[in-house]
Amino acid sequence: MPMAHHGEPDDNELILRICTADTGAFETLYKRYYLRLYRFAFRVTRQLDPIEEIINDVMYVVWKRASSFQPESRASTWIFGIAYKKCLKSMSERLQGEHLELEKAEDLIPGVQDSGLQNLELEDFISVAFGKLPADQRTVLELTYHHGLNYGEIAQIMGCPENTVKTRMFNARKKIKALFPDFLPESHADYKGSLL
Amino acid sequence: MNIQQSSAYSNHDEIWLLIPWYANGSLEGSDHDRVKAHLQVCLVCRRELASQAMLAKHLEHTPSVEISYKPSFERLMSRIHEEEGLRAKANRQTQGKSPWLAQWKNSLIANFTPKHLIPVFATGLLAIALALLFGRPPLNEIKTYHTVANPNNLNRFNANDIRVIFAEQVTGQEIGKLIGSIGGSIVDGPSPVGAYTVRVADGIPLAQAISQLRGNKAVVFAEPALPQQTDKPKMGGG
Repeated sequence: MPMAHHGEPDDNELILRICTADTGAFETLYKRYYLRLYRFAFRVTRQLDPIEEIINDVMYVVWKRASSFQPESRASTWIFGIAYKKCLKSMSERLQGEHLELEKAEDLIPGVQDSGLQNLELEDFISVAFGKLPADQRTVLELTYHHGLNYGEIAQIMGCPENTVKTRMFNARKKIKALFPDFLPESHADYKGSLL
Repeated sequence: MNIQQSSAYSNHDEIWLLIPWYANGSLEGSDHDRVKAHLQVCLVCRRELASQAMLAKHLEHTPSVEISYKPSFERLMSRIHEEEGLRAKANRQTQGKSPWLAQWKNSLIANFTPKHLIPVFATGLLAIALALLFGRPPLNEIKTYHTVANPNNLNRFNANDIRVIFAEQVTGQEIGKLIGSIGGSIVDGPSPVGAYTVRVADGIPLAQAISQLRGNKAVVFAEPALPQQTDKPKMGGG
């Protein structure tokens, strides 16, 4: 993911300017992350209702705590780290009063069946798979494959050891395989593609 | 399979865990090289890589949903302006009353982070520890006497009985000595509150025995087991 867009200042520079209460820089950063955070929050929470609140809570922290950002780290790691915590908080607030484990309780949360985005995604088997995975495994998948992050960065975002990230990914892969045994078409079985 | 290939194959489980990050192109350095070498010799991992590459392809796709950021951004800015306005107002009010206090408060708010809680908690813990260590007054300062008699048990006692509570640190041996010194014997106890009933031998005045017990710092409480019913005082000073 590029940090700067068409000659615009990069994320770190924008955050530096936000430290001086530069609302123009804040709007640029907000715009840059809006869809990414939107998708991330949806992937993690599987809910549309709280997404705007989550995005604005995240960006509010960015505005208030810009001076605490360490310039040597990646802005996206910092921002998605905040977003992950806000997603978990939002999910736990929805479950408040019910003493259920987050993962088990996700099936009980009112769905988004009527939403346009959900209908769009239901065409995609990934959406079904995501619905069956717990939030921490969904997050690892999303950050790996949509955001292209390394397991080390994902560990920073999720605030856990790197081995935990690998284990979560391992479990997610196992579940997806169990759900979709035909996921790998025969023609790809002896894959020797360009990734090698 | 030669030795080099065998070595590349031996770390299969470890490589299996890294495949997703090889597939997304984020592996670097030795991780990348080890996975690459392993894939040359492991068909299972090559298949897994293909599977993960497909998964990546599906997940990379972003639905073409057009959502404008502007309304959300404006709501956030309203929230920020509102909160900043309230804070500024509160600051003006505080500064009007006492500028140095407001300055100190603002500085505290601006600089206070969770790490500042560490000395606060440490001080609290130290205070609790000191209270536990030194909170108990010395034996010779214990002057409060409590009533521990249970009215239902009064018929078990006679006029020569004394209810005694000893200080916590006093050993059984010391208790025995003390009771022996007044010519008494334990007839009951200790009760749940640590009270003993001591029967003084005939011929020894009860008041004298009680006075002697009270004079000893190992005794917290010493009273006749039965209420005094006569006008004639049985106890000495105390």
